[in-house]
Amino acid sequence: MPLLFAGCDVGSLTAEAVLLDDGGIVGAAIMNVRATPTESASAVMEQALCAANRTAAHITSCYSTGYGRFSIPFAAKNVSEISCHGLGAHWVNPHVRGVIDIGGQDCKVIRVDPRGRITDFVMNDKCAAGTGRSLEILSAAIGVSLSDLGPLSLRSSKPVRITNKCSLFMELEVLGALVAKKRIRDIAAGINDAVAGRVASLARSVALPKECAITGGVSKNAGVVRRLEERLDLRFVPLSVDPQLIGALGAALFARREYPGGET
Amino acid sequence: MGNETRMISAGYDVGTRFVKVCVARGGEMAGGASEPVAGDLRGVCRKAFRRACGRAGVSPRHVRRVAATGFGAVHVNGAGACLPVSLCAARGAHALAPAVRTVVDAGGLFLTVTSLDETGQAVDSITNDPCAAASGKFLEMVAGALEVPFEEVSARVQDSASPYRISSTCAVFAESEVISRVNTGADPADILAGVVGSIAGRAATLLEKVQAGEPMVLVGGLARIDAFVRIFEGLTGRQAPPLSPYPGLVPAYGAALAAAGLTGRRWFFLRPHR
Repeated sequence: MPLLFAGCDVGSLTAEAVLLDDGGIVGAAIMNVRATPTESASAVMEQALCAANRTAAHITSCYSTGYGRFSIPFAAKNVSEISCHGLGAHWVNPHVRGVIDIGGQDCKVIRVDPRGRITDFVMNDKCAAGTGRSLEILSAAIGVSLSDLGPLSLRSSKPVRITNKCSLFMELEVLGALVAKKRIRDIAAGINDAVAGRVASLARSVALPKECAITGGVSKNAGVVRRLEERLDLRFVPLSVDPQLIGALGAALFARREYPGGET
Repeated sequence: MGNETRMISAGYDVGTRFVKVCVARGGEMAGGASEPVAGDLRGVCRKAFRRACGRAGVSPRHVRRVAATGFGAVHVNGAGACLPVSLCAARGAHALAPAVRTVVDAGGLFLTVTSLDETGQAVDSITNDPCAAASGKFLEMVAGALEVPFEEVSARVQDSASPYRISSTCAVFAESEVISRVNTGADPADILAGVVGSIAGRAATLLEKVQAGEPMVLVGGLARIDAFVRIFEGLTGRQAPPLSPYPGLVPAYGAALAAAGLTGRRWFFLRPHR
């Protein structure tokens, strides 16, 4: 039976699974989390297997990562998200030397060497500012869905300036902007810029190389991405794989690397 | 000087969670109201104003002077002045209890400690950093996550034998931590006690940074939570009674008094009754 490696990433808001064989990625899935990490993992893995037209019996080895990684019974081992994002992004684009991962409840900045191994990192999981959660609160304050926030903000030419660093104080500033009848697109731009500002602030504590990729759910917000590029004076290296899958991909790569005869 | 001594003024305290309005007549608190902050802030202000006038038994048209304080003071239409909360808290507290020398205003996102001299002037004040950890809003979010109505928080805290300290310092993340702790058997009363304790601790730390003379009073929304008052008194070793009769209205009352003074020379020599 051909070797098939799986990676499962269970986060606070979403869960992902990736299936990898000699030829590359054969199946993947992204979904919102269920009530428990175990349920989330089973469900997302099933979806990925379905997409790959395989069954669980085909899986040679599965590794897990993410917030819920300790609760995944079918995973042989769990690996830190930092390592998985670094290796995963590097595998997709070997030029990558840095990764910024903006997830639902944390933000990580990672440096990798030419082989995709971590050389430095910093993580914020203490303060909601600069995470997806902050965007959730602030977009709700202006009644805009998370998926609309990016495109809307790109239409703004006069972003509202948000000066506070705490998401709940930013929320107050947003309410004030609404009272002052600022345009929603300008507030949206201000929100994305505020989040980008917190991430950039974190990124400066790691000497971030220019060949940097961005991963995680928030990387799909074009407004945040663009403002971050402007603040860090770089252009993110494109990834041909969905940025939300990078963590799970990294876990699958570790599963393959550590399996006897697995590494190609 | 009939009408002049009974001058009707209003003060708005536009806080981070509630808009409070106090109507004063001739220097006395005549009526007040509080409305939760919502998207249409100006509408909320108007509603609070109308209700306060209703309670004061005056028509809105008879309010001659208006001043505003609080985080959102600038959004009040028609305010003759926007004043710092410390000044208004001092002014209101001094009018109600001239002996007071320290006022602790504990609200939604801000804790302010103000020290007064014997004339009621604010001489020093300090406010917390703009971080929502250990704030009234934090308490509200945790109570919401625990499905405990805010009015019951104090009673539940009294029940706690061992306060539980949430490890998330962030108010936003604490919500999910609280839910998972309760799911694994933590007592909501202990969690609430831990949160109230952390807010009281933050207020106590601020208190140390000003020359805070005796006596001290508490004002603002958290002053109405007995458990908060008790824990704060325990931590500071000092009495800190809520300033009656309406501790949440004290800064708005102070703004109303200040508004009454915002006039031309006609009112220059006027003094309040006390």
